[in-house]
Amino acid sequence: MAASEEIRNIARRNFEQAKLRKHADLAASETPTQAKAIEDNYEKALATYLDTLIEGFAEANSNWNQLVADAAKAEEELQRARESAEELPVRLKAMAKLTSSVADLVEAAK
Amino acid sequence: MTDLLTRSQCGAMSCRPRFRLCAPWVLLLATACAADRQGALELAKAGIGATSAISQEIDVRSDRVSNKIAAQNFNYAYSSMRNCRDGDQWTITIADGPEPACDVLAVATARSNAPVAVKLAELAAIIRLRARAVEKLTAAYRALGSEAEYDAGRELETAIDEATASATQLGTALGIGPVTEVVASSAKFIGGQLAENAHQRRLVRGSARLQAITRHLRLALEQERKRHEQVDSVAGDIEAETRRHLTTAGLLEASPTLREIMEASDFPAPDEGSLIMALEEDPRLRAATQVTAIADGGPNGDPALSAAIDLLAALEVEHEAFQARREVSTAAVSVSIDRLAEIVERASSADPQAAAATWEE
Repeated sequence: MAASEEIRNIARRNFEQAKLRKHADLAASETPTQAKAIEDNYEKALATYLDTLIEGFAEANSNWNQLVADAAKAEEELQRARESAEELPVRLKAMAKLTSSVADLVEAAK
Repeated sequence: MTDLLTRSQCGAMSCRPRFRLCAPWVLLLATACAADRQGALELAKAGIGATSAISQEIDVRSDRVSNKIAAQNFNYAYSSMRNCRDGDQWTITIADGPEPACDVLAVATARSNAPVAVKLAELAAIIRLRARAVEKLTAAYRALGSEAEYDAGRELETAIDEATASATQLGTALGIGPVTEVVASSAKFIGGQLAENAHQRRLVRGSARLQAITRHLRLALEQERKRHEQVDSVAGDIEAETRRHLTTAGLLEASPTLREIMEASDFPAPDEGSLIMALEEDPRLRAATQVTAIADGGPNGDPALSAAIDLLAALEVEHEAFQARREVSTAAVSVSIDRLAEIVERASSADPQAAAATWEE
């Protein structure tokens, strides 16, 4: 699969995850800090997705394979956190990690 | 704009024989023939009309991007402040509150670097570059008109240089690079025997350079359209989120959506009072209408930018006709201008209505 397509797929899945879980996570949140973190994660996922849509990704960085592996691992961690009904703080960290790993991919491919 | 010698006096697009019949030798030596002047004036008129129509489109689009930034800020604050309460008491502060996530000024300050706003601001910057490029192109077409009416000296070259610089700036921001410059000697080849004196050469060369800028602007618009389509694919989410929040706050007026649903089903809609009464009496009807109002309708393409691209393409065809010494006709350009104006008019009148329906209640 072309690098650009791979990045877009991961970014899209990340954004869809953020979108799908946002309202459920907000309903489960108890503190202003938690609600803010959920909104921050969602917005970062949205911005990263926008970035991947707009960028052409002409060249892949030399660390590409490692970065893809990191993003895939972050996706799995998030999935596990969701499936095992982990507490909200754990899910929040997993979501933030996935978004930043996708952002790393986007940055490296520029 | 007036002409010294009209086409009816001189016939078709042929200069040399006509000068013997229509113009004094002094005029022959000093200026371009009437058909060249007329063609250049038609081009100038078409160019000014086209760029003015595109300017109108920019105003509407610029508002749309600003609205998306505002909607995202609203969504963020409304969502993230949901837990700013102690029991039944809200703990939202206006300044210097103990919890920054619940302080209006602290959140507002943090929003200036919000990631989505930054991305949308990049798009807004491209729209501003296009606005400047179009403004400079309008000025260059005005200068072409002046050059056709009288010998305007360096005015045309200067205006085209400025338009080229602006179009290059826009092209660079969109990844298509600079405007392709017309080689000085090529105007003679393009115009053939037309370019037989300095004034004629200036008109032909001016047309060739304006065509290059127009083409560049068209290519830039194609790139910009892609960006808007990409942004629109997530903007729907931002707008749907706003409608969701307004519904939560009990502010979404359902009757306009219900009226649209009825119109789409070809069922005659009753008066406003009856609609409101039906919505109040039937919670299921109200719920179904609210679901329809909140849900994202999906992207619907970008007809305004497509019309602007077609308009510039039509203008390029007339430049080619002028340089090949065929008759310049602005009919196709006029049709494209009307089409773009109609789309822009529809968009600008639809937006305030939609905004009013959403925000007024």
